[in-house]
Amino acid sequence: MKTADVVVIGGGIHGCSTALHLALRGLKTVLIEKDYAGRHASGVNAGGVRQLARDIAEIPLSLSSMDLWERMGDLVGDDCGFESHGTVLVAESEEELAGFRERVADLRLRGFSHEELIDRKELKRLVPAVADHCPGGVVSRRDGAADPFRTTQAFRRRAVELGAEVREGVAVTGLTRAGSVWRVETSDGTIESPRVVNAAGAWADRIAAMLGEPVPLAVVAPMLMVTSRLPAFIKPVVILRGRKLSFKQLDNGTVVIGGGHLAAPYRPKRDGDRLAQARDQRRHGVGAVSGHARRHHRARLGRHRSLYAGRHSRGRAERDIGGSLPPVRLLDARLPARAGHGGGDGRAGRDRQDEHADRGVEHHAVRGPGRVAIDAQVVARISRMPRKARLYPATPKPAIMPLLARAVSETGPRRTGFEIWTSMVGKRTCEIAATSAG
Amino acid sequence: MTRATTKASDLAAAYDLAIVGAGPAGLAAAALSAGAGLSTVVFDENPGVGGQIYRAIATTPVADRTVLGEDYWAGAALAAEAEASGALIVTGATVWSLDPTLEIGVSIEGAARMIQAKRVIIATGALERPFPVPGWTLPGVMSAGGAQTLLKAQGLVPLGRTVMAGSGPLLWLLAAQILRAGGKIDAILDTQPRRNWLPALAYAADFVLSPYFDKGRRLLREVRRQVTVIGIDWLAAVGDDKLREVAFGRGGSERRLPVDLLLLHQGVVPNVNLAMAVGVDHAWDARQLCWSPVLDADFNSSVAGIAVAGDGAGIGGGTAAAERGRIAAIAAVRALRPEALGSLPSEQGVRQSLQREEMGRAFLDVLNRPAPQFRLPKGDTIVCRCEEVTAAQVRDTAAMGCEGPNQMKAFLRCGMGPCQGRLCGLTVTELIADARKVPPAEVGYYRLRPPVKPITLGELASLPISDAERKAVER
Amino acid sequence: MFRRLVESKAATVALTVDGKPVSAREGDTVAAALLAAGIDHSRTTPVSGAPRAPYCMMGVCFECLVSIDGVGSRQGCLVPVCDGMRIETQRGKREAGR
Repeated sequence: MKTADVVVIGGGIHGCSTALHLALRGLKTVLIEKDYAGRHASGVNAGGVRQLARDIAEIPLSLSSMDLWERMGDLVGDDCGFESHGTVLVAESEEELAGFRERVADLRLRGFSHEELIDRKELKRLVPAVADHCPGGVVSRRDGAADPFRTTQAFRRRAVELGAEVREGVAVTGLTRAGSVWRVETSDGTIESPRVVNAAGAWADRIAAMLGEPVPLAVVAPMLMVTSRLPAFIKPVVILRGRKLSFKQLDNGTVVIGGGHLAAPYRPKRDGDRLAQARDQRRHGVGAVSGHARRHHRARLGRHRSLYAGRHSRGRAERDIGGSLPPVRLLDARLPARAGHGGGDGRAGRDRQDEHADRGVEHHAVRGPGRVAIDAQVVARISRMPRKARLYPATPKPAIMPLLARAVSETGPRRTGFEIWTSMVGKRTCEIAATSAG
Repeated sequence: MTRATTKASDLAAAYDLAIVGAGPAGLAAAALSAGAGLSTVVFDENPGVGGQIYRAIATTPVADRTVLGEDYWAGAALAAEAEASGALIVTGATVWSLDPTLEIGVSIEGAARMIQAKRVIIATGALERPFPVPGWTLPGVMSAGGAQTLLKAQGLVPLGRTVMAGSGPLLWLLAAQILRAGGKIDAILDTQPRRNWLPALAYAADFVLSPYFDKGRRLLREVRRQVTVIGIDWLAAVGDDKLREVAFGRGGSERRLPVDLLLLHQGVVPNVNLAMAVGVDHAWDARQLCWSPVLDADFNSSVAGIAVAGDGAGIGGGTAAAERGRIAAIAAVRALRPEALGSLPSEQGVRQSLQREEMGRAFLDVLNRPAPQFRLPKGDTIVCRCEEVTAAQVRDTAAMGCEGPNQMKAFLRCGMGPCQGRLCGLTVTELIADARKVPPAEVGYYRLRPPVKPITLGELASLPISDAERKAVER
Repeated sequence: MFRRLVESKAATVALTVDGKPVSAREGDTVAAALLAAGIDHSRTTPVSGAPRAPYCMMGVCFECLVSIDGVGSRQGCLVPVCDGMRIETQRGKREAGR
């Protein structure tokens, strides 16, 4: 019987980083990935390395992540294509700018200074191509973008170098308690381990369901467009609040445009089954967005209070560009059933426009349904990973393209003669020198 | 004959049947559909109708009919019938998007429009199989089809030292046409592997009975009488910033010829980009070595309401394409206006005609199956022309464990240029299959999505968006 | 590389290519006109600057990308010529406004 100190399920950035940090601490780690590391959201997202416009609760994690990014070479032996020219949040009206001003002031009160209000002049200096009607914005100067696939692969590589075992093309088929350990059944044998980390991203609910703890999960499939190569004309990453738009230009000259417009997602079990994917695609065709929305329900705290290593912001805070963050739970079979202390942080039961039970980083242990104890801070410490969470999506709606195009043409480069020729749903572009996209 | 140019703003919001491609399949389908009373629109991005085989059929400056041959001129009747049928035929119109709700994104003279159809026939035909040899990206190297278009549409004939290389009926047909037009061809380098004859013989009976046999024999004789034909198993285009020489040989031999124009051709394959982008299931055709859509007897695809007719459904040639277009159109009429079926040509008759046209294809496919060295390049030979990715890079990346063409994009940007894999996709699929020792069917193909042709941001931005559409894509 | 087959009855069309006058015929596409005029290449690639000339003449290879009347990345093989057209070979990446 194969054993490990920890089994990590999922080879995205969360899983690979978890495996790396566990290996750094000398723990025997096995990572199980049904396709290959970075195959899904972690490999195909927009690549933004962003402190800007985060929900307050996320900021401490975001700031410490940025420290990590600036020393990424030391951690994984690769700078992962990280380029820092700042992220600029563009205001399109004085009202918007006033809202930003309030926000920056609020952050200052809380001791955070990474967001800086900028006026029209500074905005034009940072983003010369910006449209004339934009009165200013906010900049976070340390921000930038990196190559998501390269990053995930770098974490994977380093984890393996430090002794972690990464098994790709292997799917978890069952998860049961066996005395004091978890028995992880896979398509290639069984592993026993006292600890399991569910880092399965868009499939995390399925892993959780194997334990009889189905977690409501929103599968979100944001869409991206990529242009032809253009001479360099934009340096920072540009985001907006008033409309769903973000874009950046890569080293290879292409401009990647996103903003969180949704395509219809599908979650194939495994890569290999192309026909099944196509069938799924048709089933989850155009109407699927509303279908998935219906699947979610507002969850109350209590039975399903779970911990997320990050959150995606709702309500007043800017909507995160991209999907929900997958739950990362530390399931520790050795702790007694009633260990840990419950309680909320005031956000418990808060009913915003959430479609599902996403909760913030809660710095305390939360009691699950009697079986597990979860220590948020432990998880936060061991998964000090950059913030990525784009779920692998599928069929785009052509309607999205005009929306994005209009958004760019109205706010951004006034000259809109360049072309889109790749509409990618969460796809990524890169070149051999590998800068981020997607 | 000049057509009044249809502008994007002239288009109706919806049509019963939208046909993409005004080649033989599209024209035949349009004539039948409009004749049955369906509101029909045909989009083709080229300046005139006819697709590739009947290129410039309405406007060709080549008046002497013996040059292009009677098979070409048969297209004139098709074009005339479609024009007279009442179908709206829009040339210079690029379809860049099609989705499963049958909404079509089309662009005419820089203005984009979305239109709705009740049924769609994809008749985008075929394109030439990639022919990746060293130096194939040099100015002075063109595809045979490209030279044939120049002849048909502009009456241009190769001047200077011209060599043709490859295999397949189109190569020999073009050679004959060039010679009839008074052009000169210095040599034809024949890449057809001799060992294909044995397996081809299994299909010889059908071939001998088909119209191809006699035509093919006469054509070959006509060309061989006037041009040196050399059997080869390797070739390379040599030059610095443009083509200077072609090097070639069989076995260990090497010869060089100074040359101004090298025309390459090794068969045609379905143009899958639009069909794949909308989600039509495709399967790997091991005989034709390409991806073909999975279709039923009416050429309906796996996406409801979308049929694929013509060479895009699998290589069958121009006359077969017209019959396939008719069958797909009959199915559309059956679905939308069944009362009109009685006035249409007999479906059985069309199917019989199609069957006759398809006879002999198997023999040609097997006989002309390109040799592996021309499908699986090595070293510095460019595979992805747009992004300048070499065969060595693709092979090395596959050896590293890269499983498929989509993963390979992440490493090399291979397939991410404007042609969206049209000139590299098959090569990449086969190279990865070769490296992994698995069949191409398992490796798969690039995941294609709209826009299937580049469209400017400005054009996209000008499209109207309804509130409902906006809400559907926001959380 | 190419010559006109017949003394075409088609009218002459006056173009400029990279500033130089070039004569074409009505019914030519821009790419055909370039080839007929013996012009070496239509573009240089954005990746390495290598020269490329039209290859497929049917809109699938994108080697014939040229700038026409100030608008870049036009597929020359799909655009019929007209009098006074200004054609420029496309050097490397297309400009954002062109």
